[in-house]
Amino acid sequence: MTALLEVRGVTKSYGGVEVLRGVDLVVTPGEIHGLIGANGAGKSTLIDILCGQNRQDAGEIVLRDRTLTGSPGRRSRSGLARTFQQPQVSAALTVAENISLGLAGQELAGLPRILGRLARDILTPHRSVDPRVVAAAEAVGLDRLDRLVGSLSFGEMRLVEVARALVGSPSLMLLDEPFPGVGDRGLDATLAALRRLRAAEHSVLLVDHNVDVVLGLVDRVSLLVKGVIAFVGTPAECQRSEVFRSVYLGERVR
Amino acid sequence: MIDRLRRAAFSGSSVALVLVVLGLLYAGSSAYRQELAILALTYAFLAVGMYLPLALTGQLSLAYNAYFAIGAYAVVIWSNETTSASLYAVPVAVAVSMAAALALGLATVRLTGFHLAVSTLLFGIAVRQWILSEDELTGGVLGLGGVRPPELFGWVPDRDAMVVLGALALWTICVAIGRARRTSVGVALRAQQDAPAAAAAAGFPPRVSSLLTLTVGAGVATLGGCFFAYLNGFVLPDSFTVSVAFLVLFMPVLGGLRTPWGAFLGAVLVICFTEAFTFLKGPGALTFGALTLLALALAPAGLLGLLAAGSDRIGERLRRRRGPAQPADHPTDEKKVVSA
Repeated sequence: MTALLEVRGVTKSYGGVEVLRGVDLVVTPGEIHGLIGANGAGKSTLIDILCGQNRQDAGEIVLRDRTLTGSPGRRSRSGLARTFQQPQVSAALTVAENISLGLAGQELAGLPRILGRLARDILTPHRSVDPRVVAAAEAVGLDRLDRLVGSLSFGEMRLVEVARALVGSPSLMLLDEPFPGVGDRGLDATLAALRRLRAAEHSVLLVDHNVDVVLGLVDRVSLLVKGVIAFVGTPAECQRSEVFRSVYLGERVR
Repeated sequence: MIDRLRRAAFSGSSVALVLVVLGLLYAGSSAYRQELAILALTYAFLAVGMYLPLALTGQLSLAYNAYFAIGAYAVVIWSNETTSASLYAVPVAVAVSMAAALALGLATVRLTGFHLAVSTLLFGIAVRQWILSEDELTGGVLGLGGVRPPELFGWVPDRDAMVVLGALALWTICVAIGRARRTSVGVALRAQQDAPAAAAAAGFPPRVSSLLTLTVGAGVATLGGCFFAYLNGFVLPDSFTVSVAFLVLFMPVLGGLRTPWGAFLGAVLVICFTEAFTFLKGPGALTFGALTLLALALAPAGLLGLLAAGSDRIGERLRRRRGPAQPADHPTDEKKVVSA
């Protein structure tokens, strides 16, 4: 099984408190991989480290056989896209503009390309919305793309984030709790979008608390407990695992 | 179609066109009024320059009196110290200002907006002190004259032609900035303000955006300084005090930050209230301050935002009269203001 993403022995401490204590994780191509764990287990820290928005103390991250280093922008160009636990959307921009931000990393790498693109777009402005943006919005069930994001509900803002991550067709999407607040329609649309992404051989690392939703969607799941991966397996194996049931579901086994 | 016409009629560019026509009618043949119209156009360059970092990336730079001075003194010093065409002073001045803005931006890029404001304010003070102390080069407190008019391919524009050229240059800059806001680069720049992590995660380097708006804004303001020097023929250090930077700050805020035309409108209003409306001369600055506060309380999105809101209400009424909802046209800046 060829790995798309390999996390090897990643550690991270804050002021002497070990948040990640040697995390090992493998995501394969076309896999939806669930990462679950209690609050404070280190899930968001791991996502931040994978995206380059935080640095690990030790350990290695390998994406498609290449060690992943550098800025978030560089990692975005390597094929990573993410959403945030608290939606990071610009209230002053429209839905279409927020989603189009997901294309910035690929199209605006380096000052010469930024200036060239800016000059071209000023001289020949195009008024229609990029078809990729429309497709990404449709994929998560968003319409009326000229609305300001500041006027949307919290759930809709999450969908904008998912669409922004989708729009660049990344090889690996990191979704940090994308489901809370999206409503039934948004949930169905997002799940359908993720399944389509899997069918197209894209991979997803999904962090969420909704175990039913996660286990109903993912191919495999990793359970993060106090900074270490305590269990990895398929949803069926999860249900049978004593470790998973005792640690995550809080059941008393035996 | 009616919606498009309505939006065009209430757009910032239409307001600017009306202001230019009113300004020409106001100036007429009076030399004093012409001076005021030229000052309004000069300040509009500064305001549009300040608009770029302020509105697009949320940065407060207070060195605009310095960029203004660099433009004006470059023209006058070039005219006196060299024999080459005085128009060459313009790119030199713009390059010097942009380099200074870049250096200030780089020095404070990892710090907070407060540090940028303080260091740019200090730079503005330092440039004025330098002008006063280097009296052999700058004329010191007495200022310096002898500006040679610019020459364009053998044609030397007269005063009226220079005003028209200045207005056209500013018009082009405002159109370009208005378009730039909607480009992918403009979207990434604006996202830096309230979603910096998302912009960074999407791959747009935050340093690039802040430095880009700071340097281009300085360049635009410097063009205003060059224009001012060509039109006046001489420069005095009193035109470049720090208070200019604070006065310019009001302009985009008062006019509206959603479009560069707001900066243009703000510049005209500031000149009207501080210089042209002679009946306000006694308590002038105080009245202007009170009116600005009142305007901001009534129109937090600036006066163009208020106008756009009114336009949208009219559009809504028209749509109701027409019956079933019409498909939405392409969004404009004005529409966004209303939606906000």
